[in-house]
Amino acid sequence: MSAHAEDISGHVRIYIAVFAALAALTVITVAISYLHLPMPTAIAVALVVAGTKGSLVALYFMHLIDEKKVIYWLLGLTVVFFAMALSIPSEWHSDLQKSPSVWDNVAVEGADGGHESHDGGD
Amino acid sequence: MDIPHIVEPHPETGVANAKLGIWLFLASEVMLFGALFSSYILLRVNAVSWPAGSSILNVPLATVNTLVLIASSVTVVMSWASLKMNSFSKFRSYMGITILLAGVFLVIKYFEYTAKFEHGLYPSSSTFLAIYFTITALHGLHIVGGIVVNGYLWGPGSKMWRVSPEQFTGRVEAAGLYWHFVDLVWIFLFPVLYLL
Repeated sequence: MSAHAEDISGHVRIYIAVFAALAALTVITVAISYLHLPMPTAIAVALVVAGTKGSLVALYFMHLIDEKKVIYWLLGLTVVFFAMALSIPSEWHSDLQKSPSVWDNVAVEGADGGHESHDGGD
Repeated sequence: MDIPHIVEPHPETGVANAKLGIWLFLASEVMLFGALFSSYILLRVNAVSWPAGSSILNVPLATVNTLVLIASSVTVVMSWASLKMNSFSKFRSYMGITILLAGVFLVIKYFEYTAKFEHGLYPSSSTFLAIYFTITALHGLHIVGGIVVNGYLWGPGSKMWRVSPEQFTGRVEAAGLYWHFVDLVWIFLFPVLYLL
């Protein structure tokens, strides 16, 4: 960035406002988790809040709100590959539905974790 | 011989080489953590049952750690802004606080880990704990890396400010971008592992 000192003081006010927003959203996301919403709703709400927080960090702290085209292109390409990486589980999931025996061992281990009961407060 | 485009933007890209370099590195980091998130989803959707993170992990401690990392993101960007405003002493203060907050994060993480071990909970105990320890330990290593880089810029590396202030400011910006990325990863890790 080639901002001048006076522009930077303006940025500082924005940084403080973004910090307040991020702290508030953190408290909100924890408070929502205590409502014990149905899992699909809980996932959607948690990801929307996390996405909002992430966007604030990327746009204002990482200055993506005012960046050069080459950086946007680079990140756009990264998003495409990231989406491909995240789509792999859905492909595998449908394959595993056809032949679930392959997955038995991991599924049992996951179930072990689910059966353990810990009070978490440590 | 001087290396070109360290400070002034490259005519082809419009940005200095250091900035393009750090963004390329962060793109590779997105794929590293993306692969782990993908593995997490794969393991979770195929498990017969999956524990609620809050039943095993300590949500209040992790909430404090989230606030600590967010605060450190503010201080690191303030350290860069201080250099832009020509105030080296403020840079030292803000960068010093950033390093301290990173240390606080690791200390809290240490207490979280040891509490799990004392309860006999290890990565081998369940699939959930395996992915939890893998992702959070990798994230913790990134915190350590950030402390090393920021510590260098706070200490011996800061001598560059006297001879090449713009180049030094560029270095602080690049280190700051990395640190924000580490914060960004935690912003997603926290709800995914602890709250869902």
